[in-house]
Amino acid sequence: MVSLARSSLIYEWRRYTAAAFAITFAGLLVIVQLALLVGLFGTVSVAIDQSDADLWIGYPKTQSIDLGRSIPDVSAVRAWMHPAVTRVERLTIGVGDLRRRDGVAVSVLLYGIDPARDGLAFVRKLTPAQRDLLNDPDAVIIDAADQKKLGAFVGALVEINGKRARIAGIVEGIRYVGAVSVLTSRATLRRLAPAVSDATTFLLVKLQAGADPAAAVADIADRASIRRYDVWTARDFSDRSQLYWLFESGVGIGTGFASLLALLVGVVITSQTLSGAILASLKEFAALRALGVSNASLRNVVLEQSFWLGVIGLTLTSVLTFLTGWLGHVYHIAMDFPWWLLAGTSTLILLIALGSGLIALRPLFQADPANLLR
Amino acid sequence: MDRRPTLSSHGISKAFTTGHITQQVIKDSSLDIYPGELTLVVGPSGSGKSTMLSMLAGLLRPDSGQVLSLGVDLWKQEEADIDRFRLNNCGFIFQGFNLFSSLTALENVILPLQYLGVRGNAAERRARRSLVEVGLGERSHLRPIELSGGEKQRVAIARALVKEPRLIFADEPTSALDKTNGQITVDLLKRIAHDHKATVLGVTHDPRLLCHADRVIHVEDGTVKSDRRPDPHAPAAMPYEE
Repeated sequence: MVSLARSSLIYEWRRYTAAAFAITFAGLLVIVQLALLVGLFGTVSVAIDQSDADLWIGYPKTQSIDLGRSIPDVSAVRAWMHPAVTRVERLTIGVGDLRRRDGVAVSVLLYGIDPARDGLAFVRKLTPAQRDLLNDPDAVIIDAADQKKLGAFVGALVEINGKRARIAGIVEGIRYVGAVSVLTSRATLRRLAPAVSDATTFLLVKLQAGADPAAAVADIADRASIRRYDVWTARDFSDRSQLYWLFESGVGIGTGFASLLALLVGVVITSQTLSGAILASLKEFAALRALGVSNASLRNVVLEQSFWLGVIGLTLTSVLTFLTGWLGHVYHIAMDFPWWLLAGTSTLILLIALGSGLIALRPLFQADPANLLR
Repeated sequence: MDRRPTLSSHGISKAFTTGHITQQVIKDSSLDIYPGELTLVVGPSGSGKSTMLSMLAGLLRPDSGQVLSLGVDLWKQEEADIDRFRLNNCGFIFQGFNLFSSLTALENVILPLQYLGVRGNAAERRARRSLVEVGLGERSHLRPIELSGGEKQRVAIARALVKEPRLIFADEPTSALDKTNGQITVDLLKRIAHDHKATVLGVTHDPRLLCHADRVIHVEDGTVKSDRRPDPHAPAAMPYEE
């Protein structure tokens, strides 16, 4: 069986290399852009996703976790009244000005958490030992990615809002896109940020195993005519925060636009290169048309060719994506490669490759074979 | 010899329009082409001879008129049926050879057979036989780039021949070849016509080839100027009907 598609790919590999690389880099560009976008906006909700609360209670209509305001204590009472609730924990978020040893000031977001060993906040990131560290007065924990920016190391003394604080520990994966995150106990926060003092920004609520979070949200919701607080499931609040950043902060639209541009450039390069490669054999295809080979059969040849080019290109893309992901990990760059992103981009790129092949054959279908054979 | 034409046109016309200018390339032309002989259509550039060949071969739809090919009213058929008709009955040879550079001579010849449903050993056997017939049995493993122009055209002839078609069309088959290779090519076409009882219709502007043809039709400005048989041993020319 003679496969025109494969023998042409192998024999004229130099010509097709350009198309394969176009596919490779179009795929890489799109995947990395989107991975950055997903990674970046994943950090928005890091405090929600890395905590163990089933429900979050916050100021009415809070759009994102960084936009919280203080809520009245009645919300905690309502939460405790629910039979399925096993724990209610206060989280206070304040802003601060961290002054490095060299005098440079950096804006920080201060999370005042309950450092108890059975606490909910950041439970997936903080080890019990690290939680214990926060029991010390003045102790704060920062993210490894922010270490350089803060010029800090474990044991270093820094100044937050003019008060002395000490870097007690460093963790990975609490970085947040908007500002430098600083974890501390609520007791220490009271001293570092007197403005928020005893206020509660969010309540983290844990339910009994098997309890339905959606039902609990409805039960705990404030029924006053003017709502004093809102209740969300952790998942809802996480999505809500990410969507706010994605669509309303400007950052999301910007990055999304860049991804779209990457995709567009990829499409153009891929289709042009592939078209060029196929156009070069147009006369031979026309000769086959003359010999009575149907349009459908020729289409299959080109589709097979485009498919293999897509597969080769995407294989290279996956190698490069893996390398990029590794580099991102080494340099603490927020990138996330969820399966749907990889599968979606691969499918899209493959479809673009197939579509480009078909577009390249258009002159053959539009003209009489007689004209192409002149 | 069966003296009924296998291929005939009745009052076919073709005009091409470029911008505002419409040029009548073929005007009300009628021809009968017979099996078992090599018929060459000659004429200067732009005389419409290639257009005529394309319309007779089922490659270019005439504006008006009828083409009867092996008893089939060709242009009354659906596109797909015309494709199938060409696949089953027609072989083509072009000026530019149009061989796939990635395939060996043998593979180039096998390719059309695959679309006819002939595969594997059967296809290879037929392709080899075809290549032997054009004198390239020993060079069937070479790719087009390793073959001379004359050899490439012989591969193209083998490709046209392998389907054992009843109709073979050759559009300027010798234009890209030197005199010797041109003569080899034309002699080969003539032999195919005689041995396989195929209808071979060629188009050329090369006057050196005319003495090799069984029948020569002169075309100028879209109309037939003369129709003769240069070989005195060939049967007498059929009267040309306008």
